[in-house]
Amino acid sequence: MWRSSPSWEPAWWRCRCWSQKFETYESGVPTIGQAWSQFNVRYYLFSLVFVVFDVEIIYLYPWAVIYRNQGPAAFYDALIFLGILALGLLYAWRKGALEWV
Amino acid sequence: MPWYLELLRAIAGTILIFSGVAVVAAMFGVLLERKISAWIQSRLGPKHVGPQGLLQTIADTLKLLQKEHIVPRNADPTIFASAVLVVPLAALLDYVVIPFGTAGGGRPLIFRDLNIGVLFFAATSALVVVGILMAGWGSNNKYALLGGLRSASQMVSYEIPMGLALITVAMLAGSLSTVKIVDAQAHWWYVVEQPVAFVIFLIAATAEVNRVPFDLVEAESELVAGYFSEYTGMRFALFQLGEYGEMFAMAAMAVTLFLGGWRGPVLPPVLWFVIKLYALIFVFMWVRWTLPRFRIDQLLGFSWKVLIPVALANLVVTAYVVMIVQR
Amino acid sequence: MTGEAIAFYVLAAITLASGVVVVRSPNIVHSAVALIPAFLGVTGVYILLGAEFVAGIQVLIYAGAITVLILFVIMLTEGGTGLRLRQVNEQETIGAMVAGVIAALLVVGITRTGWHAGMGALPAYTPGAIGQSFLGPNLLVFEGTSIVLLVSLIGAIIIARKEE
Repeated sequence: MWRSSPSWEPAWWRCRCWSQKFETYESGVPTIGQAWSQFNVRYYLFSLVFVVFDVEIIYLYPWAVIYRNQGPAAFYDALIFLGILALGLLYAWRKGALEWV
Repeated sequence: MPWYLELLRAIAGTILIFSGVAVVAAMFGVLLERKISAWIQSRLGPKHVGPQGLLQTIADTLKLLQKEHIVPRNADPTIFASAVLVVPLAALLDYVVIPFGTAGGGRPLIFRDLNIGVLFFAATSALVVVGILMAGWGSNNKYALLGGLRSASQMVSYEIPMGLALITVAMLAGSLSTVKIVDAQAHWWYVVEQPVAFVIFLIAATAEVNRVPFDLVEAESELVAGYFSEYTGMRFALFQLGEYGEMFAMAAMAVTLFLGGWRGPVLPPVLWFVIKLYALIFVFMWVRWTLPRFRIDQLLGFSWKVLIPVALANLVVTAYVVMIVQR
Repeated sequence: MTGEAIAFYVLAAITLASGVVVVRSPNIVHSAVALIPAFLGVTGVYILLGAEFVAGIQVLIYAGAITVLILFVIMLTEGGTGLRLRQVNEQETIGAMVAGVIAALLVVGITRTGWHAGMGALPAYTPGAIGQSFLGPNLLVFEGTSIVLLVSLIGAIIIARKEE
């Protein structure tokens, strides 16, 4: 976003635009390369497990709203639903997808 | 008036009110934080601007308003600039569904009593993650990008236990509407019935707003200011507003869901709400200035291996008890 | 034009414009970020249709979770490193033609159909109604979803492990 100052600008204004100001901040050391680089797979794994559980939670909202007026069947239905997903959590845990390696 | 116009009006009203009330609340929050941290560390804190330093944040905001915007040469200007809008807007939208008290005739004081209130809250606070990731990536700064990535993986991890705590409460109240949830607490606050969900919600809320002990995002000794390192002037202030706005929203939601909202004897409802709100805010600040920081593997492990199993178990046990009681 | 129609056209314009950015942007991260206004525009349409719960899902899952996932995937791949390079799609013309034909077919199909005036009340999309259907006629869908989620989780972990 460097812009060269037009000549009619006063001197004190012109010196606001020196180029160091638009350097990337890296504690005063000149920046080497871009910050945009390839990141580790672990971020992806966490966000993936997150999406699965987020969808699970969405399915539980309608169930939770009407649960009080339902018979015991509603409890066992949700128990099966949660049980299958707990298996998923267990699997991710055992496979080390929840480890920050 | 058709309901969608009403919704638009509610959103516009929220934003308008926010330019007044909430900005002041966030500014007061900053001052409170500085005063409380000073008190905990046996210092005086800001003292010179106004009586007892009360006007310190106003002075700071005025200063930030005058500062120029600097967009680093290497940054991605579009994403860099649009991230500033996402974070505070997402935080402010949370307030649409929070009942602050009662107006005349027992009518709840709320912008819009949505029948998906709790879900709306979860959805808008989830948008903050995207804004933070955009800020981190758009800056093209190693500190900012690392901060943004850490923040995103932390916030998404803690959204799950928070959602499970919300569902537990929604199940007890039989509704997602925040007004109905407050109504359902006429006899018992849910903190009595659901202490586990309350603790889970508080921990997750602390992590969602990136505060100590979960402040790896902006661990100043390693990452400068985290995802907003490169922002200057008013843009920096907007991120601060988003952060404190989100903290107040989380505390207000905790009050609504677990502490009976505006319910209380003698004093007017709005006052009760404010008292409970600031009590929780004090807890957040107290924790911040007393506890050390987690390591990132501990942080994520704590969410996935402790909080989520506990929250799931709590949900199942609560559902079971509700079923037994109803028989 | 009614207020509802105006709201619809505004939302449609937002969705389409961001959709064009998603497809046309030379920068893959811009494409990913432009998904957010597209998702939010669709959310607005859901609200217009009175499906507030679906709108909530749209924001929570798509705008909140899927976008984060996509951004992580971009940063995971080489796509994150060469962003200053222009991304070129060699099948641009064919893609545009296919999209145009499908749009024309949809427009013709929708305008030519004789729509019957609906009888009775609109179906309720409240959380309660959806919950009733999960525990009633759509119980199998409810339970089946958990299996789909489990399978997708396992598959994703296996694929990610292989990449490492």
